[in-house]
Amino acid sequence: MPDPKRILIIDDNAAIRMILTDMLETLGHKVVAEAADSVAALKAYSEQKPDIVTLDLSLSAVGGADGLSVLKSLRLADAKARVIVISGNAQEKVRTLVEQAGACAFVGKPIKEDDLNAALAKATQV
Amino acid sequence: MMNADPGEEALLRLIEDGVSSSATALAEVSKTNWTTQTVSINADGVESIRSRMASDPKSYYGSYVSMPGATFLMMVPQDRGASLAKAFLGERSVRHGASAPREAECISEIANIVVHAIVNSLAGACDEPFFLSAPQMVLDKKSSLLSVALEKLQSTGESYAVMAYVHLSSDKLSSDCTVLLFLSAAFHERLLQSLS
Repeated sequence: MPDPKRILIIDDNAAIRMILTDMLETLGHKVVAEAADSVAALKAYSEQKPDIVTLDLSLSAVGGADGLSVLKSLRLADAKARVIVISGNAQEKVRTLVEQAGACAFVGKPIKEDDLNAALAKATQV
Repeated sequence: MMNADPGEEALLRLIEDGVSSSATALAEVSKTNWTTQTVSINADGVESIRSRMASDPKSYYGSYVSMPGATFLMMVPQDRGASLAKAFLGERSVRHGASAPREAECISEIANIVVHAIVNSLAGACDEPFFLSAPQMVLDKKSSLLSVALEKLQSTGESYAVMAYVHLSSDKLSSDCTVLLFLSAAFHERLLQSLS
């Protein structure tokens, strides 16, 4: 079992938040907060100071920003923020943009537990 | 449909590749096989399809996803929503009981994955990144859902030039899944240029 990490999940879809929580807990980690929009995400990050964030790229702009903007905001607030981007958008150019914006790993959808575990290991090494 | 134009034929192949990836993703998230029944481009006019859909009295979950120059609509029957959500969540649907997410949220996520598979194929041809909006869910008759999709594209000042129709089915879930792609004239032109 790896060193347990405190994780913040940012996703506007409750089904994905539930699936991710289950997977992360199975992998031995603790979900310290969930956020469904950008405002709640930034608030939860500053309050919880999680070890790792999982971020949905297709985040609904209800809270004022999409996933890529939230990634940039998180990295602006904390240059050491470790963010794993999760998306069905597996385009090579999008992955490059996401990496340039500071994400430390990318997980494609449908989410597989092995891929998530590999991304967590990568994020931990950063 | 006979596509005499090589560009249109290449576009149809590109969409077929995307649909094949979609069917694979759909199988993965619903834990059962899906068969592609139809993939066509402009085979029938919108009015012809709307008229055919008008005879269907059932309600459907319609998920709208868009990006500049394109609108996508995925429709699955409301009466199959519970079994799709259950398949999507797996044993979590039992473990979480009443607190499990509603079926609309599960179907919205399925739409996100299915449409992305098609868009990833289009993006590969254009060699540029495409970002999709988060899915918006509406419950209505198929013909009404189709009208809203057209209105969404028109509200951006564009009108559709190409409509692709995709129909998949799953025997095990006794369900079908229809995906409509509306591409604007400008986006269609960009795709054809990239394909040439």
